[in-house]
Amino acid sequence: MSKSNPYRFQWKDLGNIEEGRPNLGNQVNVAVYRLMQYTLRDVLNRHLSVERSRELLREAGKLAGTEFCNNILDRLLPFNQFVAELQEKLQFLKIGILRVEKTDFEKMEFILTVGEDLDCSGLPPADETVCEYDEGFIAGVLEVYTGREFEVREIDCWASGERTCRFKATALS
Amino acid sequence: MSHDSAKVVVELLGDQLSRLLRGESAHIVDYGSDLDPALKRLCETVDRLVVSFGEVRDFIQSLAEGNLEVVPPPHNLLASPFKQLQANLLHLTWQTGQIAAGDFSQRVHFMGDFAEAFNTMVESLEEKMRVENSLRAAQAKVKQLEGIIPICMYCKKIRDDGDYWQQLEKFISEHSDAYFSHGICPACFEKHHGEASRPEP
Repeated sequence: MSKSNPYRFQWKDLGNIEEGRPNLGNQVNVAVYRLMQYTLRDVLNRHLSVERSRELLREAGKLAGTEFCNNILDRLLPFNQFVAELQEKLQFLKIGILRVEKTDFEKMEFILTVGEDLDCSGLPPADETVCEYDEGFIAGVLEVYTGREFEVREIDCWASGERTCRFKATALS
Repeated sequence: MSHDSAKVVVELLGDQLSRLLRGESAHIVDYGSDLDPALKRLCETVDRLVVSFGEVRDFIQSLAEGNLEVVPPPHNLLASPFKQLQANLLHLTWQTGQIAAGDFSQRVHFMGDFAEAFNTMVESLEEKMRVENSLRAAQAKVKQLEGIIPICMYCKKIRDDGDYWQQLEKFISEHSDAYFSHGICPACFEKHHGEASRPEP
């Protein structure tokens, strides 16, 4: 990796975890994941504007969603089965509990919620959103599946036990 | 601020809270401008509670009337359990719509007994649909064997739709799930192999 040849993520960079961690395995504490994400957010905020930091986190989430869809999901499934598979994978990998509330294929507009979210559940709901990475992730998945650009925004969040975030996804083109 | 004025404000606040406890609507009240800072903070807090309570009341009232599309009050933590209820109802409504359209890949998770009952219902519907499809397919095949079938009175071949004479067993195999296993009945055995099989005197 050099300035003239900067690093670009590839799925294979996740490595062979079973081989690489024969004793510790592929599980990690959620707090450790959040430690990485929130310290990264902190440093980004120190060097860039808050808005720019959010954009970058969203962009990183979109890259993750794109790669996740390309490597984990079956893009050839009909939409409903694709959603069922996405729900099952997110649950199996303990990323969160995805639920679809509304689908409008004419407007290409979807409303969905994510509960027990890896990024934010357990945090008290606040005016400031912290789900830019999730917004990007959902947009990335939808863009790969539909072939259209999506804007995803968190429109509400609440905590009744765990925290739940509601997102609205809209096709831009 | 005089002691009497403070007493009036406290009574007003008490009335506001009592209305909320009785489930009645309360409205923002003008407590006056000359308030002790601590009392002013209390009045502002009660005002926020009145507004939040009113928003939640309207929201849950709409939900109770079956209006699932009602927009929940944003940033209202009192409404959290009702927002979760609305999200679950919207999700179940969407799931039900998918199932009605024949998509049995949907499952509900983490909604307690309801999730188990819902998923069992989906599995039962899927099984029912599978059995019905099998029956329909079987009926379609049976229908092909209904009616008058032309058969040769000598060799027992059957004439198909293409005016072609087929062996009886081939015709039935092609028009049903039945297959034939060939053997020899005692009468035919005697007729065709009788001489050869009899022991020599």
